[in-house]
Amino acid sequence: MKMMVENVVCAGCSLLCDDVDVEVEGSSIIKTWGTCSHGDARLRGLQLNRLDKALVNGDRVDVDKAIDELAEMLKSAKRPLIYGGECSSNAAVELALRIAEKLGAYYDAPSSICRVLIPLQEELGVRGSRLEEVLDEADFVIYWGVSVADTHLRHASRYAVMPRGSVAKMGRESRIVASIDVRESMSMRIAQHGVVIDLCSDAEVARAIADLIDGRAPSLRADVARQLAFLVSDVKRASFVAMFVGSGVLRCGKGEEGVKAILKLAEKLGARCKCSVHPMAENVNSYGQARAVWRALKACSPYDFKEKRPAEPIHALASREAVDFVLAVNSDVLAQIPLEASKKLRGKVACTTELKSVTQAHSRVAIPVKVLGVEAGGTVTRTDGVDVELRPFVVNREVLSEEEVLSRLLALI
Amino acid sequence: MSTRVSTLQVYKLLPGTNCKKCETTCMGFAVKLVRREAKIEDCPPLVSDPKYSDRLAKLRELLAPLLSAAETLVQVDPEKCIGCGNCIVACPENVILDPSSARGRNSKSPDALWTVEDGKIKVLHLEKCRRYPPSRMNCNVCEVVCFSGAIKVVA
Repeated sequence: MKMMVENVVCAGCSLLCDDVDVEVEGSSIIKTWGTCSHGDARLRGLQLNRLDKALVNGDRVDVDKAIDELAEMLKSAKRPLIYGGECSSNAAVELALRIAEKLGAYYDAPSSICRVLIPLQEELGVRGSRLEEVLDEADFVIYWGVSVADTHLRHASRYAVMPRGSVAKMGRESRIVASIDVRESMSMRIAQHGVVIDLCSDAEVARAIADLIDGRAPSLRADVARQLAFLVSDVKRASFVAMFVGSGVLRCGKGEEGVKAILKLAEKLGARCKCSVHPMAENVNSYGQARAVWRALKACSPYDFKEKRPAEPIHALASREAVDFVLAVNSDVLAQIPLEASKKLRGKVACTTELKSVTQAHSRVAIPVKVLGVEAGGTVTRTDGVDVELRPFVVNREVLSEEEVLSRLLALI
Repeated sequence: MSTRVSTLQVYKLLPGTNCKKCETTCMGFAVKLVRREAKIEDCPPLVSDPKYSDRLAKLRELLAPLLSAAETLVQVDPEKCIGCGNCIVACPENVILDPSSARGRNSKSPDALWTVEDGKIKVLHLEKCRRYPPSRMNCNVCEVVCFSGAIKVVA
């Protein structure tokens, strides 16, 4: 029987759009309204790639047996590593951290702009704001190191550029958009200022904008300096500048320096007008994962719970065979790290997973879990730091939720 | 660079004799061709006189995109659409028909001009577009805000 479910929260990306309607037939979603193509592909493609039964060394087994086996493997490992959380609920992240703490394990997660921005924002005292505030008031929007037309497809239409706000009453006509990136991206199509900068020059560009605001000539390539001068002439008239910083800034060796310079620029702009900086979280709960780690450890992941200090990232640990077992928490670790490092982890991995993946295919234990935001509820954190409650709307009694699996695992170890 | 078909482009390919066999001047006929209110065959000299055969071929090529466009002379390519919803929220007519889209939400009203369905744009009421005849307002907001180039105003 077909059933309409209205105002579902789409957990396809960290925007967590809450105006999505879906038509459900049995356990399948057959139609969606209001999702972008990414969200639609996730929702309607859910049943195509599911793991229906727990696997231990390739054999289909009961989930209780799989959890017992996994607990034994974790207990017998000398240097285990717990990985992931970016696609899990906040409660599951907390549980993963507790498991890592109890085992004295390493903990790591995929690289994220949130991991860099959250601690630096706290250190420098640069505020973020809610996306609804941006919608209502922002009259100058800067996308830095992110192409929302490729990653967060509804960002411009749902919050930042197109909608009419209480102050920005004319929508896109009340706002000026700047897109700063190392390539000409699709996002630049809606930007009045599309600035293509050199790779790894984010810090220089941020400092150049600050110089231009102060009336000093920047030391940059002439064409970029000219574009920035136009940008600055507009930004000086702005009353609310919203900066959205993506992981593009991190894609070189000077990522942290770039983010720091951008935050310094935001500080300077903040003295003239309202200014907020937002990370563009890469996965559905990258923000919640990074924030949980920061709150718990006052350090960004990776972390070594045994030595109680920051650790090397997983690919470095794997390369020198410093870890002997990895539990991937709904994260396709083997597909994310360099091939040489992933080869070293084959046969040493277990996972909880919503879908079939490279990691699951090479796992000694693979435990299927309910799909977050569809079959399982929980709280995740939007890209602006707002907690959003996900409500399940498809019943699946075949598998456990990730929180249940991790809770049982925690009790067993 | 604009890919729109302009009246002047069409005019340059017409005989330019103002013979009025089409009941108007060549410039008037060019306007009618772009608006799809006349056909090339309505210009007898162009189709019958061999000296215009090159121009005729070029004109057919130039006007080909118009034939596949809707009455509004807007082409929507669903293959290219990424479902970002920029067009829905930016469209001035759509926010009148469904005010919730003014705040960035997807159109849910059955009266809306368009909505996003299965991750793609879907036109619900083309006749409500500002470009629909006879008003034919020269609005191209949807094309301007489209990330992927899925929406093209052809003339």
